[in-house]
Amino acid sequence: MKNTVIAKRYAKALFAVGKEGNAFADFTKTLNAMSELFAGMPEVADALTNPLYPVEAREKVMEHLLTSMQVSQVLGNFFKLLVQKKRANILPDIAAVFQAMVDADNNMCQGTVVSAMELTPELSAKVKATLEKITGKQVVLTSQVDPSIIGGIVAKVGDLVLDGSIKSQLAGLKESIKGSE
Amino acid sequence: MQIKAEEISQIIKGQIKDYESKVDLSETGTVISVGDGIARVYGVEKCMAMELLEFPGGILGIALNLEADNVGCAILGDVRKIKEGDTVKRTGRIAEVPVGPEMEGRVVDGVGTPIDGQGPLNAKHSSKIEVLAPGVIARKSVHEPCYTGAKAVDAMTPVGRGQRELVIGDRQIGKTALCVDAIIAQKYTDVHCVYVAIGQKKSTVALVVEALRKHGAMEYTTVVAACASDPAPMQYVAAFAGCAMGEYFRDNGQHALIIYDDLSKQAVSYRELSLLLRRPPGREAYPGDIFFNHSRLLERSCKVNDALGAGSLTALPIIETQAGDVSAFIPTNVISITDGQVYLEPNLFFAGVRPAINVGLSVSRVGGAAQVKAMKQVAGTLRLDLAQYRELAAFAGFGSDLDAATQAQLTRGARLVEILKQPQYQPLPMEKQICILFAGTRGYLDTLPVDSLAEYEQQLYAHIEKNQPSIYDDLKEKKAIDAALEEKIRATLQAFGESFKAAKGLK
Repeated sequence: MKNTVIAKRYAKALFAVGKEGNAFADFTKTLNAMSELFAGMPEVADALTNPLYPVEAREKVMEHLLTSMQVSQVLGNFFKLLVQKKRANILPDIAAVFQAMVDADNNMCQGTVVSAMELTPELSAKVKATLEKITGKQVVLTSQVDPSIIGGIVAKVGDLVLDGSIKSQLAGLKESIKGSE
Repeated sequence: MQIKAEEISQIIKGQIKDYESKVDLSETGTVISVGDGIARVYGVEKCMAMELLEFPGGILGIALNLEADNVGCAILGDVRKIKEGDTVKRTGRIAEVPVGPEMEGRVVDGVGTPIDGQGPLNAKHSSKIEVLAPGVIARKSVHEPCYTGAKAVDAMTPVGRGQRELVIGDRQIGKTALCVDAIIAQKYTDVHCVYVAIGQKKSTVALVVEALRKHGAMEYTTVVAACASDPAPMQYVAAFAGCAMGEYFRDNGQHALIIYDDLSKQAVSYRELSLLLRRPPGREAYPGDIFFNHSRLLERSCKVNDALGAGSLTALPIIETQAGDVSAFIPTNVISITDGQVYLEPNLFFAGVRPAINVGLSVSRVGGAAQVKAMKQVAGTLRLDLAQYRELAAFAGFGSDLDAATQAQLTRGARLVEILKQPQYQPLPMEKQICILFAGTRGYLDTLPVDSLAEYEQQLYAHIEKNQPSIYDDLKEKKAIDAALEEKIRATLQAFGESFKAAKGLK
């Protein structure tokens, strides 16, 4: 997260290009796939960022990657530029910032909901509706299951956290008993 | 004490029953980096300046830098427990401290948490630590004295209620002693006191608290202690926290006296904080707003007008100089902000003149407005007499023959210097000060040897109390010396002087 300033600059440029070509959906998909690749396969990230390999070699790796992923011309250029400028390491940051920019443009935001058990579709729709009411934006909800919260749900949208989990309530109860001693 | 297990389970049962389960809605961020008491936090987008942020474990921080993509935050607590990636919660509160009469007699840290082991504060009010100083309309000029109990200060550099009088000098020459005496001097007045210790040793603070307690001054005093081992943000904030506690009295039509001991250390901790927040350094590496830091703090000490209750907050900030250098950055800044200064000098201190006040360099810009008429009558010429004495004493050092007039002036001067000496923890009320100063300036001491004057002074007070208590009462009541009173004082001094000489076997 330290390189957000630089990531913002690159994302902004890409955003401007995407707006002209109306290619946000394609861009976000590819960027997210790329950032997942970085997270999932550190060897790929290493091959693209490690300064021990000459820049030409790294560029070649990127080119192979691009042809195998069938990336559009514009985005392909963008990735090559990143490798050339030795900024490939901030690719995940760029993906995140770009996603946020596209969301803001569409009046949308990403939310996560954590629950102890799998949520039923009705419940998850209800959570989504509530979050949309609070934020005034369309919420794209992803759900996670974490048994450690015991019960209830924790919903996050951006900086906002709605914590209704049994875990945090127990912690609060503990504090209140300790505090009044 | 016997602990009943049954009772405890009942209490816990009650607490569990009363515990309200509610969904916790909070805005959060994550710690990007942490170190040296500063955390950079990503997120918390709606964070306000000076807002308190909560770190895991209930540690609080103050948001000081609001930048485009992160918030610079000073941590008020144990930094070691905070890690990168921790979740930070907004509290929605601007930094505040508990205030009110419940604070008196307590020792608290820089954010108002009690550290004296006397249980919770139970304060009913709290107040923001950073508030704007009262404006021009809300003020009134300083017109009533706030006695410090030190003869030299009250006679020549009087402090009025609502005034800011700087106490400046090198280390170890009695700056704190002078201010602690000023607190003790408020014992029989309606002035509440706040003593803010910044960057001092814990042992020193303990000694001050002990001294105050011993002299019965703790009942009306709050001690705010941000010691040397506390993090820099705490030391920086302590001065403002103490000020907020004093302001409570000012805004409720009461009077308060606050002592900042000392502002040089506060400046140093603010410099540390600013540099770690990467604010650009200026002269002596202090940040550009170091002047503003002190001016906005000291501006809050003032006398408010009658419509607002006519309360006052008097400030005695302390500045420590290095080898008497008053032209360093921080001393010049604070000198220009305050309404005068009391300058303490090592030479005088080691020559036995204690309090070691340099009369020539000490001034009070409020001046006579903060003195009662009686004090003006006896001390009016004191400053001039002493100035002339110093000039002549320098010449007389050559050992040449002196004419009678010069001799007289030297005799008078030596005695005046002697009576302005005062032992620690013995502040004097106004009426006693006037009596001894009257004796000094009107020549009743000229025939006495200099080394007997301390004894003379003590016996004089006892003598008046025993034989002529009406002198004290009249001075307290009229606050001026009229012809009748002057006659009475003269007669008493004459009679006492003779009996003192007789007892000592002097001619």
